[in-house]
Order: sequence, then C-alpha cells, then structure tokens
Amino acid sequence: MKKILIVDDELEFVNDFAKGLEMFGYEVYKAGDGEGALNVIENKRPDIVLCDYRLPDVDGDKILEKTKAAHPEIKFVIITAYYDEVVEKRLKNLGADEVIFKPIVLTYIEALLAKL
Amino acid sequence: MTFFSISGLLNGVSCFLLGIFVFLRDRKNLTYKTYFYFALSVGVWSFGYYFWPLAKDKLSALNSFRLLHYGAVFIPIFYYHFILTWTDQIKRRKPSLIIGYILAITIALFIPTKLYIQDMVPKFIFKFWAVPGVLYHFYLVYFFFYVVVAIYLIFKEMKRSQGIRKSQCKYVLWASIIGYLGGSTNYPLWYNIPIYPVVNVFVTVYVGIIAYAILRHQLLEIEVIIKKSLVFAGMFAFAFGVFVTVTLLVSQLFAAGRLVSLAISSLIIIIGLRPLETWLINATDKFLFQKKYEYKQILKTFIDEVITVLNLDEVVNSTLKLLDQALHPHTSSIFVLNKVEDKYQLYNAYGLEDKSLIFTSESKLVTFLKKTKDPAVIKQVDGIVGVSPEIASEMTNLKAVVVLPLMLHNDLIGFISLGKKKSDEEYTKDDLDVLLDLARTESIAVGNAQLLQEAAQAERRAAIGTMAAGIHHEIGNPLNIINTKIQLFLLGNQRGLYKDKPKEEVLKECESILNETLQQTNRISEITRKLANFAKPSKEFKPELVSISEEVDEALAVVGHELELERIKIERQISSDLPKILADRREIQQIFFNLIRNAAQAIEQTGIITIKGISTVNNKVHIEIQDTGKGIPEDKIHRIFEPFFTTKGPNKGMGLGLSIVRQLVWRNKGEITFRSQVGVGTTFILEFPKGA
Repeated sequence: MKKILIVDDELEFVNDFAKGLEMFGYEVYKAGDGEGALNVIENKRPDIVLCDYRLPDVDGDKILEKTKAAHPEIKFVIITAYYDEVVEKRLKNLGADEVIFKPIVLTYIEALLAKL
Repeated sequence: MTFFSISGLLNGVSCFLLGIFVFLRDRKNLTYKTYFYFALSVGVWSFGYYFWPLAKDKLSALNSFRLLHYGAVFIPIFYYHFILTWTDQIKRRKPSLIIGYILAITIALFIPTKLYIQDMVPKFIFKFWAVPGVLYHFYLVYFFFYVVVAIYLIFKEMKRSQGIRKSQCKYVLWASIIGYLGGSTNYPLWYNIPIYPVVNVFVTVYVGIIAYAILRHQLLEIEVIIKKSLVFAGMFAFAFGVFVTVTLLVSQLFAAGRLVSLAISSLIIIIGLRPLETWLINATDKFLFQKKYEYKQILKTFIDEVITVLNLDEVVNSTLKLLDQALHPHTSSIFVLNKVEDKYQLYNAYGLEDKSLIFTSESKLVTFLKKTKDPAVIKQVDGIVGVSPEIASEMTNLKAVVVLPLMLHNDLIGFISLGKKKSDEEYTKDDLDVLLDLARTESIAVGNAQLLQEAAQAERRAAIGTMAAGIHHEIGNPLNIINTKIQLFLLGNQRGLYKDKPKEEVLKECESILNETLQQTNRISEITRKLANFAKPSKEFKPELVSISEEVDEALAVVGHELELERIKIERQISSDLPKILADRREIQQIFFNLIRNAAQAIEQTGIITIKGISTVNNKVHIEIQDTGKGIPEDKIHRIFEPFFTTKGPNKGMGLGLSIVRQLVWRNKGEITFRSQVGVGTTFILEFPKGA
C-alpha cells in the first residue's frame, strides 16, 4: 500500500482529503506545517507528498527542495491556491512532479496518484 | 461765460439730445414718450441757467429765471408721470397725476407775476438772484412732494422685482437721488443760505443714467457710476471752490483784477486736480466699495492658498469663483489639456453658454500662448499688444478679452479666459500683473492636482491588488473545504460506501457536511461584508462614534492575509475600556489599513507588528502601531509625509500612503507622529480626542 503525506494548514480540508485518499486505498499521513511535514518525510518515508504552497512557517517550494535533495525517489505534488503559469514552471524546475490548483478534484487526483 | 453758464448749457443740450434720442428709439413706447417730456423740462430749466449769469440787467436776469422755472415747475410732474408709466401704475394713481398737472399748470400761470418772484437782488457772489414770492413756497412743497413720492414708488418697485428689472430700478433710484440732491442746491440761496447751485451737473448725470437704465438690458454696475459721479462732483466742487475763494480774497485783500485771480486759481486747480482725483478714487473705493479695493489682496491670498489644494475640481472651481467675485467678468472659464487626445477642453466656466468648446493644438490662440507664454489680450493694454484678428476671433467665440496661459515646465497645460468686466472698465496693466501671478500658481496647482489624480488611481489599483489576493485566499479556502467535502460524499456514495450503512449514519454524515458548509459560507459572508465595507468609496465626511478596536479588526481582515503570507505576527494590545472617538469610520479604517500595510512592508524577514491602544490622562485616545522593521534612515525622516516620497522598492505603491494618512488623521481632528530607529523599527503614534 502506497504511503501518502498531505500537508495543509486547513485542518478540515486535510481530514476530508485524507478520507478520500483512504477510500482510494492509500495509507495517509497528515501535517499542518513545514516542520511537521519534514518530520513525517524523515520518519515515515511516504511515496508521495501532496503539499500546499503557502504554509504558516515555510513555503512549499522549500520543502520540495529539501525532500528532493534528500530523497529524490519521493514524488512531490504541490497544491496551490491560485493559478500562475510562472509559479508552475518554477516549481516544476525545482523538481515538482505535478502542480495542481484548489479547489481540488478528487477523481483527478485519484488518476494522478495512480500514474505517479 | 461763467461756470454756471457752461454747466447750464451742457445740461440743456445733453437733456434735449437724450430726450430726443430715447423718444426716437420707439415713438410708440409710452415710457420713452414720458421720458422725453421729462428730459425736455429738465432741458428748459437748464437753459434758464445758461442765460441767467449772462444777464447784464435786472430784467433779463428776471426773464431767465422765469424761463428756468417754466422748466422746473414741470420736472416733478413729468418725472412722476414717467415713473408711473415705467412701473405701470398710471391707472391706480390717475387722480394724483391729474392733480399734479393742474398744480403745475396753475403755478406756471403765476410765474410771470410778483406772487412767484418778487424781485431780483444781488446775493453773495451773484449780481442777481430772485426773492421768493408767496407762491414760490407753495411750488417747493409741490416739487418735493411729487419727487419724494416718485422715488418711493421706485424703491417699492425695486423691492418686489428681480434680475435685470431690479438693477434697472437700482439705477433709476440712485440716479434720482443724486440728481435731486444736486438739483436741490438751487434752493438754499432763495432763503439766504449761502450754498451755491454748484452741482447742477449732476442733473445731466441723472437724466443720462435713467436713459441708460431704461434702454439697456445689460447694465453697468451701479457702483461704478456712483463712484465716477462722486469723483467728478468732488473735482468740480474743488475747482469751483478754489475759483470763488481766490476771486473773493484777491479782490478784497489785494484789490487786484480778475486776471490775477484767474491766474492764481488756475494754477491751484492745475496743481491740485490730479492728486485730488487719485485721492477721491481711492477714498470712494475704500469707503464705499471696500470689496473692490481689496480684490488684489484677495487674489494674492488666494494664490498662497490654492497651491495647497490637491483636488482638480476644487482648484478650478474655487479659482473661477474667486475671479468672478474679484473682477466681475461677464464670463470666465478654465481649459485644461487632455493629454490623451491632445486638446484643450473646457473644465468649467461662469457665464459661458457653449460648454462644448474645444481648442486643438492647431488653434491660433493655443499656438500664440505656447509660443509667447504671455497673456493674450484683444485690445492693447499698457505696453501689451493686442492679438491678431484671427486670434481675436477665437477669443470672441470664447467671449474673452483676456486669456492667461497655464504653463508648467514649458508646456501649456491649460488656460484661463476672462470676459469683459461687468463694470465696463478695461483690464489694466496692474490687473494683468496680478492675474499672471495667479496663472503661474494656478499652473502648479492644476499640475499637482492632475498628477495626484493619476497617482491616486495607481495607488488604488495597488490596494485593489492586495485586496484581490486577500479575497482569493479568504474565500478560496472555505470554498475548497466545502468543495472537497461534497466531492468526498458524492464519490463515496457512487462507489457504494454508504450502501450497507444504516440510514441514521448516512443522515448524520450529511448533517455534518451541511453544518460545515454553513460554517464556511458564514466565513465567506463575513469576509465579503468586510471587504465591501472597506472598498466603498467615502463620499462625504461623516463623523460618528468609532471603536478603535473594531476598526483595527476591519483593517486586519483586509490586510491580514498579506501579513500571514509574510509570516508577520500581530499583537493586539488594545485596552478593553478604550473610549470611542468621533471620526469618519471608513477614514479610520483606511488609516489603519495603510499604517499596518506600511509596517508589514518595512519588515524584511519575519517580525511583529504591535498595535497598542490606551486612553491618556488628557482625554485623548493614544494609539501606537509599532513594527520591528528596518526603520527609516535619518536623512529621510523629515520627508516621509511628502506625497510621492517612498523608500519602498518598485511596484510597492506610489508613496502616497503616509501623505494620505496624515490628511485623514488631520481631517479627523487627530495628530500623527512617529519615532524610528534604523534596524530596530518604526512606531507611528496617533492621538485622537475622546468622543463625547
């Protein structure tokens, strides 16, 4: 069973998102900020990280960089609030496997995760 | 020929001419006709004065006096008739009119008898003057009765009329008063009072002004006519006084001849007349028309003030209003360059009907102003040459006689046009000098206001940018939560997750989703309400009791998201019993919005913004907004409230925030100060009086 980490500071959203992913058959970890996310990554080694771009302590791109540097095999998806072509390009250059926008579409993510 | 002869002849001829002139204007017009008779009677009276001083013997002096009175006896009744016709009251007052005519004719019949003039005797400086008979006193009563009633009727007419009619009445009234006061100088000598009929000339002025008032529809300002008559009379009285006094002194003390006295008095008159005229003009200006005297002072004060106005509407309108009050032009207008279309458009005008006038750069007037940077005048004014016929015709379209360029950095950014003065006085070099000063300042004021207008728009766009990001975040998040929740349920249902579950459990699940949705939509509503409230333009200043704590929250609702992104912590230390202040709610929000945003922008990495609110002993509400930012360098400290001054990088606003903040604080009767230390941070301190 693939392990997935969700990082977002909106608790209600994280819980629902996690339920959805569990329904899809994944093992889900949750984190509310950058520090928590890095902890989970080090200790649990998820296969895929779904990370919000804006977090209370650090931005998603910093976690992306650190993760990819330490564990290049971990797939990393950034979720951001608004669409911006430039930001998307930059994130992909930094190694993001995909960039998606809120509001998320569960079925789309299901398909995406299967592909990764 | 003596002075009295000359003034008599002058009066006589001008009254006849005026009468005929008015009559010929429209022979069927009853007002004109009665005016004609009135002028004629004054003319006859005046000719009597022409002949009397020339009389060598008693009989011819007596005859001239009789002639004079044939005119004088009909003056009041013709005047009364004229006023009744003009004010349309003939029917109502017919009996008094008929009685007046009977009296006039009766008295006229007695003029050749001793009952009217007893004798001719030497009196004071005159060789012959009349001794009144019994009927003469009667005549005087009749004379003043009809004159006073007529003047009273004009006064009443003036009170109830408006507009042009009112000014006509004002004219006729003043003219009558001046005329009869002048005319009354004829009577004291009859009763051995040594006042000479020196101001007979006023009578012509009187007849003339009335003609003017009833013929013209665009009237001069009555003040100007009164002023001119007073100055004229003063000079006349002076010349005459000198002449009489010198003649008397010279003949009595030195027993010298007429020639000597003539020479001496001429000398005195020549030397004294010009200074006297200037003095009289100043004196009448000063005492009677104080406003006019002060107009240059008003213009100068205005110049100092207009520069501080930063709103284009206000600059233009206050300037036009001022010009109208100070100079009384028929028209005045201000044109401002439309930079996009490169043409000069009318911004606002007084007295100009055609508001669609536009001047392109092909206009000869515009070319002239651009090239010379001088005022354009239709007629030559002391050393300034009148413009070419082509330009003059453009100015005539604009109903302007003077056009002043508004130059800014060698560009013509607009112009002021002025029509003729209502007083018919010409523009003087003096006027133009003051006006040019005004135009120079006006250019700067208009330029500033335009620049500020553009900048304020840019500033607003920047603020809208901040707000748009805020809206996206504040509304996007709850929407995302709701959206995911619903998707999760629908997808689960679709995949049979709820197939085997008891109904109660599914219902509970639904209830939880709906509850959360409700909560999130409330969150959205709250944020849209706050944003709408904040973005609403403040139209007028509306003071009310405002709670600092609430307004800080409102501002944070808008700017808070930005702070969150920048990882800036907000510490609120507003005491719960902080008194409310009397201020405009929206302006207070704007003050906090700007100060908090500024504080956030000053913080480079992470930091804290502390907002403190305490009430002080002297009934003030004291608020501090403190940041742990980079601080303001010492050399910039004195400039931070200047408009357009900014220490921020590009795309962070135009540097208007603090200047606007200060204006708003002042408008709300508050004070703003600050202390700053490089590397430590800046604290803005606001103090508002406690609300009632």
